[in-house]
Amino acid sequence: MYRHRGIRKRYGFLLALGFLLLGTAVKGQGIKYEVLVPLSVEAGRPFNVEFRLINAKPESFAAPDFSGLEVVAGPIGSQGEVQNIINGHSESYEWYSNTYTCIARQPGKVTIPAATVTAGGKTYSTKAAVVEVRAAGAKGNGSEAVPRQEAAGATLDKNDILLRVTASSTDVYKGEPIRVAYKIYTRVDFQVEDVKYPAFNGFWTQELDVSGYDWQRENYNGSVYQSRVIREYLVFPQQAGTLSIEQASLSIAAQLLVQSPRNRSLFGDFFGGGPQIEEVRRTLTAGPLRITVRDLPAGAPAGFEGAVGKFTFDGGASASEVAANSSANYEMRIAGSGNLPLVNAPKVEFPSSFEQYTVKSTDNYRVAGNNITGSKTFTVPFIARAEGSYTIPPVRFVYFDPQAARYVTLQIPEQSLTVGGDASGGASSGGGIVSGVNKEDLKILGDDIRFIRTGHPGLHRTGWMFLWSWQYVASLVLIVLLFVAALIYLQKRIRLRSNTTLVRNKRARKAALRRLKAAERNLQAQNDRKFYEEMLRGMWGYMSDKLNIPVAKLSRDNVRAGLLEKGVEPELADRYIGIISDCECAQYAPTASIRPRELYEAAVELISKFESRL
Amino acid sequence: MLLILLAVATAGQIFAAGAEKTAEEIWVQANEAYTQGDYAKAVQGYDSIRRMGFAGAKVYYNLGNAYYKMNRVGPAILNYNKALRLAPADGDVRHNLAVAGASVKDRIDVVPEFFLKTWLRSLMRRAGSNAWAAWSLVFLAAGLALALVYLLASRLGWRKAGFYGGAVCIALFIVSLVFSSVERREILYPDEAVIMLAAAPVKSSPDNNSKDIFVLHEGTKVRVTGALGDWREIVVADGNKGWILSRSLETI
Repeated sequence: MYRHRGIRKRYGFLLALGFLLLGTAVKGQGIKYEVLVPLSVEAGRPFNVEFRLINAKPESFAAPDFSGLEVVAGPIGSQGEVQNIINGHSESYEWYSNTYTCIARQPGKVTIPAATVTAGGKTYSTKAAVVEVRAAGAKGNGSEAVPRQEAAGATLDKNDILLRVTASSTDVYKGEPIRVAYKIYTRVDFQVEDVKYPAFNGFWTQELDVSGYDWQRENYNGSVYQSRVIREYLVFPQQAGTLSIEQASLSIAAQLLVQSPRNRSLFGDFFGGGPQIEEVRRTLTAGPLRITVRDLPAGAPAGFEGAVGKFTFDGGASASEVAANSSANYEMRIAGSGNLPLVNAPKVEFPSSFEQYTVKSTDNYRVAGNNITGSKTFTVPFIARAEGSYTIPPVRFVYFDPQAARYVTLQIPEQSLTVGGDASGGASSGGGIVSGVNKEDLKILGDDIRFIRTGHPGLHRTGWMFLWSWQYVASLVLIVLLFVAALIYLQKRIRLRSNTTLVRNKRARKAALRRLKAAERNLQAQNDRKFYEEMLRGMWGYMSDKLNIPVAKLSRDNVRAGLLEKGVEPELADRYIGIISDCECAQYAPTASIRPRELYEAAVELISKFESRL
Repeated sequence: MLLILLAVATAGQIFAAGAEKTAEEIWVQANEAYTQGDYAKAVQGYDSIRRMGFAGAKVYYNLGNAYYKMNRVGPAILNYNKALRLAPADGDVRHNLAVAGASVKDRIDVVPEFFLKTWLRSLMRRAGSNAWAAWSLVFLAAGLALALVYLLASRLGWRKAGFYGGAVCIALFIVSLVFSSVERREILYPDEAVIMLAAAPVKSSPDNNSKDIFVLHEGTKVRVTGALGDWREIVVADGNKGWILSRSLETI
């Protein structure tokens, strides 16, 4: 894994300036054998080649063939111990090395072949290393070790450390994947301080694991660098047109070795006045990158949902026979390479009595080359609610093949499905009951039905109704006949009862009240004279009606006698006559002792009493 | 001639009486089967009584119970409804229908109707058609008797009672006659049905290729408003309308 604070090492001492360790880190007690050699040298100048064995004592050492180089000294054996503290974690190792001092005579590239060493019965070998040899006196790329050594301050050439972005293709179809890699090229030791990657607008991106990459020597633009991929993406363009992948930036602090010239003495070197590390900050950029995205050709078949690549399609219902109300699955498998993460489940048209549930998808794919390869399985759970035989129509999957530049339609053929009886059959709470659980009124669910009726069944013919049956009609006729017979039988009595008296009796109170009402109107108007007149007329008229005596023949005596004869108490009769007398008196000689309101109320009360008795 | 007619009628009576006796025996056996948990046999028994041409609220009620115990909600609800038609006020039937109704999948919001209509309907459902018919005879008899009281009584109170009481009784006679007729019509010419299939698609037109509007589930009650060949036009309580195959429902 790439660590931002990664290449941070402190050596007990450094063998040569401008040298880089080939191994980025020495982990624990692992045995390592490596070659330490400058990336570029000047022709005619001596340089060191060191073969270093870490964590093991060498038993035998076989020097490589230094063809193309002139060995001026060596091998010189040396050993040492290193203690590192990285992020609070300490590690130590010991090393043994053989160092040769060589001179390259011809400009160009020299390969130092692998050296082998035997330690603890095992043989280890270094990797072959390439050294760039510059012509003598040439200024080189400024990466030359010697001039920098001599400088008072450190300088970092712009080519000493580079960030590059590469794309596997810049002209693709919409949905066709592109592999985008960010790679760092360096000739100096550095620390990463800040990093900013683009947003990839218009793309669907998947970041790839870069832990598999290691530092490697690479020739770029005629120079040899240590290089490593630090970030990698697989991007799928989601829109047509010219898309731009923005600039990525990386802030680093390069660690340069500086040697102060005034301290340049044997003793100075020896007592720590030698090389020192100076940090130079720099922001590296890569990109932007332009990608031409071609739109998919027109005329996509129905059901196309953006799948681009090359796929196979198969599947079907899990069984050709299922039980009603039990769940079954419909599976679809899309395999191949392309934008698999973006592939949607094709639509399955189930018969309407089937209940379909959420589609589950199982992914089984990985990045291979510049594409995603593997399979995606869709599982559609469904429940058939009703028995019968059904057909699931063919399921179509459409994708675009960018190589052939055409659409391809694959399909799962039509499938017939037999739905059998409910497997949970007689279980009291199975099947239908369960489907009712999502209803709100659950309270009755815990309830059971009441027991059957026994005893007399009370049967009748289906469709027989009492209404308008002969029994009903007969009863109806019987009732009416009985009524008519009663009417005829009692005819005489009825006629006898219906004389005029009753009608008159009823009319009497109405008339009296009406007359008293007229009196009351005058009372309200305080027209006393008229009031008494109306009172008298009403009261005499009432008695005339009640006692069946014409008004002209009425007198106080015959009214009293008539009332007594009808069963009225003598006091009531006397009071009635008393009111009449009062009215007559007051009509012509008003006195303060007679109050019209009292008279009126007394009269109404009396008439009401008579009414209930007469 | 008259004698022959009389003889035929008597023979018919005797035959009918014999059949009723058999039906009652089957009734007892089916009840026993139910008690012992043999619901399939009980269903068979009740059903054979029905096929013999007899009906009765109790038979439909027991049949519904047996179907419910066999976990067949559709037929259970159908038979409870049939029982309710004959005995609308029966508490046991209402209870069991509610229990069975709880397992119906469709929850339908009933369109609210005018309160007076609801009130009159609930009044009507307090008795069956036959009971209302009997009541109508009682009210008629009472009404005519009170009319006689009105005509004959000498005291005013009696006459008043006779007059108003008689009028009320005649009004009640008319109301109960109407109720009885309405319920009789419902039984003889049923327009309500229950979905019998676990799931039945309702289509926009009476045609197999037409669009599915919605799906009804077993036990849901619908009103049949029209018929065309194998298709029935139905209205659900929430007002939704559509066409359904006649075999997916059964009239109450």
